[in-house]
Amino acid sequence: MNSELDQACALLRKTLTAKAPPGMHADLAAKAEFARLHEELLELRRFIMNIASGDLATSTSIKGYTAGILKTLQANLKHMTWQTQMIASGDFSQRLDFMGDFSKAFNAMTARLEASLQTIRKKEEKLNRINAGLRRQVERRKRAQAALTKSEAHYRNLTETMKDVVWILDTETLHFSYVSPSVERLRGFTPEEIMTQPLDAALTPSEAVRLKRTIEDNREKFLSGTLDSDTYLTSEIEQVHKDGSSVWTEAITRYVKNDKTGVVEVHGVTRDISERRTLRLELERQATTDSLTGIANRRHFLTTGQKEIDRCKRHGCTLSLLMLDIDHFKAVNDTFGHATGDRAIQAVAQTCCKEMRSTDLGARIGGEEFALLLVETDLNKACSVAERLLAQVEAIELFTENGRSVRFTTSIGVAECRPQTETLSDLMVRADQALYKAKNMGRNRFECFE
Amino acid sequence: MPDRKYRFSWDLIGDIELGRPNLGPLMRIEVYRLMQFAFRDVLESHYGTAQTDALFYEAGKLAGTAFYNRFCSGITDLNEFVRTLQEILRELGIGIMRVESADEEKGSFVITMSEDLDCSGLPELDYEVCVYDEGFIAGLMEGFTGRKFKVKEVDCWCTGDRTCRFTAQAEEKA
Repeated sequence: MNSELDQACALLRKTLTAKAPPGMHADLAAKAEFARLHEELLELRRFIMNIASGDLATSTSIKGYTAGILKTLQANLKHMTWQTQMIASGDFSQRLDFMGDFSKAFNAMTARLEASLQTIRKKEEKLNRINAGLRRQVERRKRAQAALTKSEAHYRNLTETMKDVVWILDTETLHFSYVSPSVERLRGFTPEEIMTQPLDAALTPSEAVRLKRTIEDNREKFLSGTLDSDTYLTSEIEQVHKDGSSVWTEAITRYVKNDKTGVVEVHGVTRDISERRTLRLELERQATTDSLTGIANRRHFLTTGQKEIDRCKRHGCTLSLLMLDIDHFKAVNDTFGHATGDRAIQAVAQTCCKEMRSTDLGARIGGEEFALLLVETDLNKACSVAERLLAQVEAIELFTENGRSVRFTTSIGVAECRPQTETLSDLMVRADQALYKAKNMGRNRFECFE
Repeated sequence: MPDRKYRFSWDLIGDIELGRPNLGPLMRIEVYRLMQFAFRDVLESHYGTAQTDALFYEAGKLAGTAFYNRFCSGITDLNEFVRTLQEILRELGIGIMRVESADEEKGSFVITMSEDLDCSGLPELDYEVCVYDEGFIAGLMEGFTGRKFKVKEVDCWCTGDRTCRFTAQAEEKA
């Protein structure tokens, strides 16, 4: 009996203490109450082991105080699990009050977490405010950049599509720091080609010398304050085209000090004025030329002639004037018609041109009256010219439409300029008096005003 | 029943401060249990055990609904609801409520009540007695979720456990 009790005690003890509970002896298993007790003990062991291993979902059918205490522990652990989940979801109000020291530690941890989270949230809010500020700043910058880009696009579009060339020239290096793309239309060179070459390459040699001197002068004026940035200068410049031809341009410029580099720059706009210049030259030519003969007209003669006299006064050189008039020109017109008269005038003009040097000035100053201003020519030489002219005009033979021969002569008055006292008008009066003398003395001759 | 005499309203709780200037709002648990178990006895003797339990469940649910409307109305967050309930139940000495698991989407909850007003300290009876609590919890849950709940006590002091455990499961919508 004692042996059976010992066996039962040993079995129960091992059931409580052994890692693997031993099997029950058949004799003990036959005892129903003991077997039930043993089975409940095994279930309680399983329940404890499951909870100990973290399996909180486990359950037991055992009733009673001990199982109840274990279930309370299980309930507490489950509630702590739920509370932990709640904390994880952000509910820091969870507190433990049923687990002794663990409750204190848990609550302290939760409070600390909450405090840390609040600190983080405050920092996060601060960062969010900073980020929002930065975002606003970035947005403002983006808007400003967009406006700038738009403005640049407008500017680029303007400079790229306009015919005029916009440029900036460094007055120290005489290199272009900016040239708008329209330069390619004007001169055939790309902006890059222009900017890699010095100013000289853009100009004809004579223009390069002139402009470099002008730029240097203006730069000095600008630095000394006698030329300001609001002063716009206009000049005509002959520039070189890539194909070797030259292009006449008009440049409107102003001198500006670069705020960043301190360098004095020329800001300019250049436009093609070739057509305008051609038109102007043609107008000038028409204004100064006699349309029938192609030589200078009276107005041009009066203007230029006075300048020649002034030049002679300055240099003390001689100058003579020949006044020439076709003899009986009215008779030529009346007999052969005005067309023939015009041809006679043209023939005399051509004769005069042949006799003149490039420095002389010949002009048709009246209906059939011509003036030849011979520079650096004294009276004797002028008389020789007059004599040759008389002979050459006399040799002219024109023919009318019906083949009739037309011949005519001319009379010439010669006067030498008295440079120190005389004006062109005085000289013309004296030459005219000599002409009348030649007319009065029979025509086809020259007379000198002594 | 058109002309009812005992239709519940919170007014029937009365003005305790006025009515009990000296004794105050507290009384001994024995008195509460005396009344409840006396009711059980009488009702069971008249209507049988099942009907008595059903009546207690129904009464508990009515009380739970009134309790929810009185103290928890307007709360939409589960955590806040649980926290509020824990505080009030503890403050009123009803019990220490804890949540073991909560699946709001599935409407599945496991709730424990320690030091329960109805059963803590009762002798072991080999059956659960907190049927009033079951109804009470069902009333609370229905008030919060708007869904019908079936609440069942699975562990009770009276079955040897130290903590009452309730499963609350939302019923399928009809």
